[in-house]
Amino acid sequence: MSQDLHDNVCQEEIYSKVYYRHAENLRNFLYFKFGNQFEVTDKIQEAFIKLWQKCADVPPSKAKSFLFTVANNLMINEAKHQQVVFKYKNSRTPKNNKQDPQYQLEEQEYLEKYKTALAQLTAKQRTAFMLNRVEGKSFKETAAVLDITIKAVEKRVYGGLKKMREIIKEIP
Amino acid sequence: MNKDELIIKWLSGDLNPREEAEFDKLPESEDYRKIDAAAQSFKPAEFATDDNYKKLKEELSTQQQKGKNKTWLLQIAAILILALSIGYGVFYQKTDNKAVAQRAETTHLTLPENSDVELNASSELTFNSDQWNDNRLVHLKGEAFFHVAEGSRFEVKTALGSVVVKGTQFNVKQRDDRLAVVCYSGKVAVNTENTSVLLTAGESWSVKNPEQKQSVTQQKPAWLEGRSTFKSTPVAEVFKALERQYDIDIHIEKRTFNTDQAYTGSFDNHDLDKALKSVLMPFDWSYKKSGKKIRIIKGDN
Repeated sequence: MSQDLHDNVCQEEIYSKVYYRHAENLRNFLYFKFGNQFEVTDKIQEAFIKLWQKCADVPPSKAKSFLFTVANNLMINEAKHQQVVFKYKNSRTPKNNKQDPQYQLEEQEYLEKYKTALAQLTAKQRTAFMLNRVEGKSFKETAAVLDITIKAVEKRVYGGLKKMREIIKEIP
Repeated sequence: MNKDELIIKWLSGDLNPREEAEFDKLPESEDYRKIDAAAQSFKPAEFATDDNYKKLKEELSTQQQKGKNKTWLLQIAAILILALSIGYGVFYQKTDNKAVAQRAETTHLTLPENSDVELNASSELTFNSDQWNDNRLVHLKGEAFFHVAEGSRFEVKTALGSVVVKGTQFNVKQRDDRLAVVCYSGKVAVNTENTSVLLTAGESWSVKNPEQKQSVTQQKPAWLEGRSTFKSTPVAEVFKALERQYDIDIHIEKRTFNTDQAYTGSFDNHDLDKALKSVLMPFDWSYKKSGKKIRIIKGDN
């Protein structure tokens, strides 16, 4: 607590620490929540500019929730009627490896179904599922980014996994 | 341990070999492993923390100059202005940066804010790097593929219309009186005298058919991979493309050969004989080569 009184985000050293600690997580969170629709990086920079303008009012311990709230609101304002869409690349097929077209086609079809299924998860399931399975964050790290308990992360990731399987199975 | 607990433990990567075997016996385990493996294909682009922080500081320092007094940013701004003004005197005598791909070559360049551009043969791109922040404009003659850095915006002007970037990958092709734009990801807006269209990923548009957007399935244009492809294109235009790719001159007797016929197919950009054959064969035509001159003749069988 006493540290908060002396340190504030107006000092460059602390401001930059906040950036390095949270910017990437924030980008991933927004991307996983809203998909590939917007200039996510712009929104993050905007949120950090707001943080700088309000630096005297925001102690370092509150910086993260400030940033996530501001950036999330910026996204929501634009996202209202947009559908969540993701980009993918077939990372399991190296470029120079000539695979038979049938296999490639099946892969492609599977990833398309996958994309559809991701979009149908709830935002809570999807952010937890993707931070954990796509970004490779542990349950504990995922819990820290989302500010929820590890139990809640387990529930969301597992729920997401089950739902993914059902949806992929249903798509012809 | 019940089934749910077992699966959650598998998700956390903590199964011992005995539990692993137990997991494999579950009817859904194969699906789950597949879902887990495919997740990697959805990794977002890398987040360049250093670069983005630098950009943020620049942004803040420009705001700062107008506003309140926050010393560290002012210092940075001062150094930056000094560095810029020195750099300006030495390097930027000319105002325009120009990249040219001659016939039979392609050129790669990077725009001031890190977007990558591939220029196809016989194409030209100009922009102004020292006024980039006020005037984010590139002029294109010919064909280019743009891989736009995340969060960046600029406008591509051609003789026939302009394309406004909204963070994305796209191909612009302007040759003679044709303009065609293909959007591979993200969004672009195309504005010409008569129309303006918004393209999203997987859509293409051409002035020839301005009312209708086409869909594309490729991830990037074929010429990046060394092929040129055409769909119902007058063969005269295909010849022009051959001339650009191989730096040759094609002579064809217009009275004997109908060059308005449409060609659908592709040619290799690195093997002239193969390329000529793949264009000419469907018409039952052939060719004679002398140096850089190619004369089209009737097929001999």
